[in-house]
Amino acid sequence: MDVVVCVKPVPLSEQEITVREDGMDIKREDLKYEINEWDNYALEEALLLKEKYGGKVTVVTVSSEQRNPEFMIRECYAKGVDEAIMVLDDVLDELDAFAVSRVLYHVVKDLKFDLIFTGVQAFDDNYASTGATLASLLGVPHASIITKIEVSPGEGVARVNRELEGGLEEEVEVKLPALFTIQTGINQPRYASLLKIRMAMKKEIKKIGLEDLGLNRETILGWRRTFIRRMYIPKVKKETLYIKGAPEQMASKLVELLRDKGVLRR
Amino acid sequence: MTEIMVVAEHREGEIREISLEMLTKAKEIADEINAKVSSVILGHGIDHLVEELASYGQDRVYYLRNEKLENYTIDGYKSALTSFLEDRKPVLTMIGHTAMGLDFAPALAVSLDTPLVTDCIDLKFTNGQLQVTRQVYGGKINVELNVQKHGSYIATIRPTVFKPPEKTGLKGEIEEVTLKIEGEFRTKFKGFIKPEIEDIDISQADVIVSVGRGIGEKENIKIAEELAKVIGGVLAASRPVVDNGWLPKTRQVGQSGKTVKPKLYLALGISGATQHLMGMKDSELIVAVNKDPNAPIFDIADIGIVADLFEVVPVFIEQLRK
Repeated sequence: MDVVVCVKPVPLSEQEITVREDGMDIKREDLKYEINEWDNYALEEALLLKEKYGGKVTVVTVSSEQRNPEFMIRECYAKGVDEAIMVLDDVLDELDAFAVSRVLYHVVKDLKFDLIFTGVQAFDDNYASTGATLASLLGVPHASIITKIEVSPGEGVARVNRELEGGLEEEVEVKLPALFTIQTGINQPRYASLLKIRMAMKKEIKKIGLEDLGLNRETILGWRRTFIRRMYIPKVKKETLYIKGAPEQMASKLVELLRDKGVLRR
Repeated sequence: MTEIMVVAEHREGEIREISLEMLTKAKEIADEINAKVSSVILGHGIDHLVEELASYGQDRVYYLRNEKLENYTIDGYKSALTSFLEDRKPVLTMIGHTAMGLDFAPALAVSLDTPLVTDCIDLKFTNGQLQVTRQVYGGKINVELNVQKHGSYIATIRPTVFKPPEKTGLKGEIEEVTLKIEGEFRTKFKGFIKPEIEDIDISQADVIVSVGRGIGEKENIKIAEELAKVIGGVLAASRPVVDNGWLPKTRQVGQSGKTVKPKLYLALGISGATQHLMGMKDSELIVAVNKDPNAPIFDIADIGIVADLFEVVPVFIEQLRK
């Protein structure tokens, strides 16, 4: 079972994220990046399949230098990934989801795979379209928001659960090779030990440039279909009453407010 | 005349709310660009749903009827909608940003070679060009985008942003479209899997104490449990807590879990990802405790406490006991 996993370094969600003065991007200086949360579950699912059926796990990332993708890739290696392919170019930060999918297509089309995994969505852009677009470009079937995978290599199919709304799921049978977008909670991702990360420092990362894919900056910028007009912090619609002070003061103020509003039993 | 097409969504014999919410926005845009609004619904044996949909005041409802469309499959929807939309050429096709919509919209955009923008919370046309607003970075930032000039666009729309219209009583025109769907599907629907039997129905509770990623570890949930007991509420959680297996799925609030509207919603260590907010934003009183002053939960909180929950909650419990 050969699995290709597309992973993306995104800003750590706990950081303060602010908009650049010109409103065309976020302020990226000093931001820390990590593997996108959904991609981390996708990676774990690939490693679990490898442990069960054998085969190879390849991660692919398409990133600018400033996202420090190498650190993310080292972690992937430390967890048991066999090969990593990194397309590195600063122009890649300028792309929208569709253009990124097309770059990924140029990388993945020449790889051998039974399955491709992506996360359902990325924390930063939130498009939730890269996986399905990539599958469509490759001409392979896909299923989204996957919470369970059972592969039957003999039959050439996978039976998967898709998460719907309100706690409902549906079971779908998909012909292989296929692409699945993986939902958080499908497994419990392993941690990479520091020792293993250090050992992974020696492993080779296949770094390729756009020209190795027969592409150039002009071409891929031309694939974009959306263009940023401006970014801004959303206006707050609700007036929030902030309680301040020491913990005791805050707690007693809260008790008082809740009593006034009649939501406490006594 | 130009046309805006809303792809209606239905499941287990019911029209899903998003189908109607999109109609509201579609009509607003249609008034501005002088277009008509139509819905398209796909299925088999759903005549009553088609009639119901037609009573929400749009120009036309297209009914793509085919046995192969009885349940949603990507192959069925992609095949039917590709040929239908190629024929109708609407200026804008609106699809719900739902489990179903985000599955087929990208495939449709590729097969029609049409620009796609997803998870829109607002959209308008300026000189024939589509402009949309989306939320990025977990709802911390909004972005306005220009979509490349094109004769036709596809947009997926975030649920619960627009209010569904009232029924008009007037029935719009219904046009049944027969189509051929050939070839074997690569993706087959096998059945629905219902949520597990619940230990408790959190949507019935008046007071909910809900914990998020900020609770840190399973052991710490005790403190929220105790608060719930003292305040007379039930314990719930946001997605990361359930993903970690610290609480069962039946306790999850949000788009893929429960929608709740209690009298009091106490959010402890919950940042407020969009999917979570969708499930609790209509609570009567929202109290949020979070260390991060920029957490989106504060945007919808009535009362905010920017602090470490482990410092505030124990004192709060103590004072409630008095």
